[in-house]
Amino acid sequence: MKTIISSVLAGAFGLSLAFGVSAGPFEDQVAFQKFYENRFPDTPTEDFANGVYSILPTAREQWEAIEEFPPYELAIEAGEEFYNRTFANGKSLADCFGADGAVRNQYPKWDSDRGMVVTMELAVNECLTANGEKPLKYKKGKITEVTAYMSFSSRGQEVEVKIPSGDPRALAAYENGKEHFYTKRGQLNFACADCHMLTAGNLYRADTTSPGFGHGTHWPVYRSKWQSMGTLHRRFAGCHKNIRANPYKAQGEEYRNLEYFVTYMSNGLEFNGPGARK
Amino acid sequence: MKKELLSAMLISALVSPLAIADAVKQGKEIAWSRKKGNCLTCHMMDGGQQTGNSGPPLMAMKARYPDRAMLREQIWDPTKRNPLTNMPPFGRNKILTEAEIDAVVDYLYSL
Amino acid sequence: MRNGLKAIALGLALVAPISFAGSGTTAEHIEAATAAYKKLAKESSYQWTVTVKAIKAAKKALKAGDDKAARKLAHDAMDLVEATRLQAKIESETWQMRVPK
Ligand code: HEC
Ligand code: HEC
Repeated sequence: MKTIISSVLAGAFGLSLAFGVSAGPFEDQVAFQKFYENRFPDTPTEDFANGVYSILPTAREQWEAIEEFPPYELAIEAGEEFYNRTFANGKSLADCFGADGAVRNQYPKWDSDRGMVVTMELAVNECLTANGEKPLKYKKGKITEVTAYMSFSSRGQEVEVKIPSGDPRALAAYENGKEHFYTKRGQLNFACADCHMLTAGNLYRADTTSPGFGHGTHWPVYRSKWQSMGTLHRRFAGCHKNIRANPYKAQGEEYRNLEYFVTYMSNGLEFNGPGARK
Repeated sequence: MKKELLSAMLISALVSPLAIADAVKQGKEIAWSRKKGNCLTCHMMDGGQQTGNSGPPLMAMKARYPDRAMLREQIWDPTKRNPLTNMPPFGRNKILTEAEIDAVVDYLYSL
Repeated sequence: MRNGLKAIALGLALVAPISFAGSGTTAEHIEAATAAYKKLAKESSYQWTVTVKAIKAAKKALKAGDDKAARKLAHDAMDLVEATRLQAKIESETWQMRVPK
């Protein structure tokens, strides 16, 4: 915490530049993306949005066959229906997010009024509760249908997460997510970066780990192993459990900040959700 | 170096071959178990199937690690030698008990 | 038996100097481990599933009347909290090495 505050202060006063020590988010992003481009020179940059299939030609064919009859199609349809459903007060989600909900590229965003990261899932629930409707559960079920529809409407939008330079709390949230990504956690002692950066593309038993570049683009996901759709935070929780770290609350501060960092790192790619994964 | 060899010899003289065979068998179970060592996630070893490839194949351990303490340390806390390793510190994080680590070392020496 | 108790007392004195001085009921030992887990999670956000499992198992053993097993599990949980704390400390010093420059 202390280091976060001090790095924020340093950033605010431009000291970090003067000392040339800690780079800002943009420099982080450039170095992050370059890391993967160097490691996987055969992968065209825009293809990192396709997760592990961007680096695993053997699995790609099967995945492309799955995408021809996508397992998330029913979710999109159900989501569209829910999206246009009229609330008790006569309004609908369209009153919050427009006719087709194509707002994916606005999230995750920094809310300077409240000093917190707002994700698309959180915004959906806030729209519901503001209109007297019941909020949805955050990891699976209805929330994945609504966001599948909204993501589908938004396909092709560019990832362009912003970290407003005028608000040191935004930088602190980013730094918090960044530190989380690079610190080893859980009894098994893994950082996200261990599997999704330093050994990305390696085999863990029968699983190849995907590059972290592209992790935020394609949610929600239909995952064969789940036999259902899930949100990004559901996936975070799964990776945490695997390393014997107690998962954090879906849409709690820890995961929202992590999403802020992860998605910012994918700036420049295209949003291509919903997705299908093994 | 000599001392370690000597003590290893002493230990093997004291412990019956049967007990060692037992420890090796037990060590293999621990190393292969997904709940315990799960070494196959990253290491090719001993003809195991569906192994990962983050770590080097484990073989000829006696020749590579004549010093038992060094081999044990690599399992107890590999981050001491390499802070960037993804190999879990089985001792420091209490993933395995001290006795289980000893058994795994016995097993590795049989490879 | 006496020695065993002494050893436990010493162990506890080492890992939980503030929580208590080595005596106390098993229920108190479980509570101390739970409190230590929560405190660390709050301060550092480092939290292991196995610690929670050990605490739950300790409570279950105590309920079943197996005081000895419950006590051991409570101490296991406390050891795990200490290992977590060490992880948080080591990571605060080394994580920057993983960031690409
Ligand atoms: C022990 C290795 C390991 C660690 C540590 C790990 N993951 Fe994963 N993760 C995997 C595997 C294996 C998969 C499934 C294959 C893949 O990467 O798509 C996966 C999948 C994912 C996915 C889905 C990728 C996609 O294209 O849909 C995301 C997102 C993700 N992990 C994020 C994280 C984050 C964030 C962390 C740290 C909190 C983390 N992971 C830690 C192994 C790991
Ligand atoms: C998550 C991956 C991973 C797991 C699981 C793992 N290791 Fe490793 N291991 C490595 C890596 C990577 C190295 C290379 C050296 C280093 O980074 O420490 C290594 C190195 C070693 C070495 C040194 C090999 C040499 O040639 O010097 C030994 C011995 C070893 N591991 C034993 C084990 C045992 C025994 C287990 C199971 C109890 C195990 N490892 C589990 C990743 C792993």
